[in-house]
Amino acid sequence: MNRSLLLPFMLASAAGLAQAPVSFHLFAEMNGVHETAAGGEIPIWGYGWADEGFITLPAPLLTCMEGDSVHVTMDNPSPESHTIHWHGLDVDQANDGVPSTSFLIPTDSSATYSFRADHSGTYLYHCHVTTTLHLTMGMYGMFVVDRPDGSLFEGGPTPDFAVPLLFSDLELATNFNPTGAFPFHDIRPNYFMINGRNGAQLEAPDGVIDYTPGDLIALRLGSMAYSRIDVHVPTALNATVVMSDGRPVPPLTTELLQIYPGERFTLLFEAPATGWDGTLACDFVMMADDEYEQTQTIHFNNLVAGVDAVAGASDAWNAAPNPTADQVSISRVEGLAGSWVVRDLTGRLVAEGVAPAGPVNIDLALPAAGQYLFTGPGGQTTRLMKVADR
Amino acid sequence: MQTNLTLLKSLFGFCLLALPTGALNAQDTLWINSGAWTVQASELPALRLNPSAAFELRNTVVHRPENVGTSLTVVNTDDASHDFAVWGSETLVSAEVAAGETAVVNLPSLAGGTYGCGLTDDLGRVHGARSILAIESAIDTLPTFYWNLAEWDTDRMLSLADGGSAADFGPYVPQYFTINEAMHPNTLQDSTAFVSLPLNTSAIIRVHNAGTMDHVLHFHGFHVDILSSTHHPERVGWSKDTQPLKVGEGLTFLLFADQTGTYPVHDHNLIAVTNAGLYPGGMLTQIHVTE
Repeated sequence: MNRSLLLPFMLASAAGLAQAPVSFHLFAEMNGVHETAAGGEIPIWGYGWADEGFITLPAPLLTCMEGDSVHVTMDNPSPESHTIHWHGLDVDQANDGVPSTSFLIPTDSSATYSFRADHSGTYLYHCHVTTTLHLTMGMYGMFVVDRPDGSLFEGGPTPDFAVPLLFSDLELATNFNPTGAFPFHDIRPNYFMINGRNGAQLEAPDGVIDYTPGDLIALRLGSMAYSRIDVHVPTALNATVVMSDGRPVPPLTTELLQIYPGERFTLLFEAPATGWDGTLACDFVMMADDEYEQTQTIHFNNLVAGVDAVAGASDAWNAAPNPTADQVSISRVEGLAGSWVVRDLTGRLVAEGVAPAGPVNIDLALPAAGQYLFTGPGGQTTRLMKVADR
Repeated sequence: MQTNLTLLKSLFGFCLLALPTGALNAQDTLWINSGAWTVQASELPALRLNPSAAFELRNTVVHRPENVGTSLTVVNTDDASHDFAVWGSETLVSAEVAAGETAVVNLPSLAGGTYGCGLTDDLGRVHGARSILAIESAIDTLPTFYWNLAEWDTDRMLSLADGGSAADFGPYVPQYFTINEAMHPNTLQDSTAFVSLPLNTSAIIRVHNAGTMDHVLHFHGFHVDILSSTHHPERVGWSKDTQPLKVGEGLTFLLFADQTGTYPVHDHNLIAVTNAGLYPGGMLTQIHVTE
């Protein structure tokens, strides 16, 4: 249930993918549970993969390539009607997901949204039925449109990897008693998240963003919160905003990036070797009265320092062919024994196994076109990409 | 990449030099009027900026040409003294207008854009006498729409009317959210809030946050170019689908209607798309594009 979106992924080359139809199959439910850092459970409504049968907070990360035709089928076995609004993708009225102007997906029915992803960038999706309540309950996710050449936009920079980071919050009383939430004009969030994680969950190994000094890192920041998010950007990063709302903007250096509900920014920086403690502090601020609520922190891990700390964990993995249209062979010459995993960008486990000490070769069939992250026994990561077999 | 803004400049570059400023409408006198706002069977005290001594629920838009210093006469028909000001990112000019008195305010020469004007004292601010100052240029030959955003905490409104003080205010809990002092669905009856356009045409939308909390507008179906902003000048030229307006901010959008249909525009702080907590309502209008 508690699945991370905090997996850095490379915008790898996948020339030839543009225009390919991309299909997703989601479902909506109103009986989910979200785990807190303290082991508690918060009732949520949300979306999940139809073939998995459970919902997540946030909803699955959807990715496609610029120019793709996108088809998203949503099943609704839940007791209420739902929709999906494609926030920022400028889809036509019929696919906009607003009940009064588009269509509802009633209980025990299914429908498909179709649109073209014309502009690379960071977008959101969410239910637009009684939106104030359905968002508060957790019905939202992030939608990323990549470019085949790995650049952020035409003529733009090409990061070594990009990280989707979705801010959101909950008013717990509403989650525990949705029917008691009315009236909706005074929602005061009291649980604050980045990619559905709160507090110590953001410091867990699979929640920390690995980097090597010199990496060009793009943070895809978006907000489905009720709060304003104040991201404090350390001076040492010399970070610039290069995109907002799925469009390039002139590079803007900033040390305080305010993200309002529904906004998205791409923040680009070269990871420094020194002068940075590997954190980004993000303040949640109440919109109505500008009152500070809470700080959540994004944690980064310097892999160079990490290798030093794990003596002997110097095994280097190679993947070929990568990208692949079929199988990929992941191999190394030497290294530690231990378990390895492959996850997709939503954190879903795709494959796992145990590697003996010494040379290893793993032949792996990736299930669908997209990006994956292989993590070896020492925590080393290798990005994999499967392209559509055309 | 050629943005809508680039297209606009190519279309209007010549006109920017040739437009006679006399073609623009200028409001010479503003009246500060007190009255009542009946909302959902409750009567709330209201102050407004009107074009005559007759109380109207909607604040009037003040128009001025760009790059020309002008004056504005402010008549206070209320029985309380008020502080009148014009602002961009900060106060540009201000004057106290005693009860029943008149003041002449000299407006500075301003670049084309959207600014704010109105009352800055607690009573005038909370009771809603704040409006748009449109500093017009050649782009205003395009269809232009005006969205004066505000939110209303009825407890504060009633407290001040009863002689209370801002120092006594509790948490800010606005119950109503408006565009041009109207809530959805009434916004759809307002021809300057409801945007109706033919396909492949452009329009200007002038927005001002007259409230006391930030708002953030989300456009369905379209990205809009920012032509001017008092509080986010670094974003001029950006193309956005979601854009905040800080308290007092004036902002000018360029919309290019490149697809037909009906698309909502609303505050994405979703408490603001309610009327006394009932969804949908509040700060919500539509863009309607026809063949």
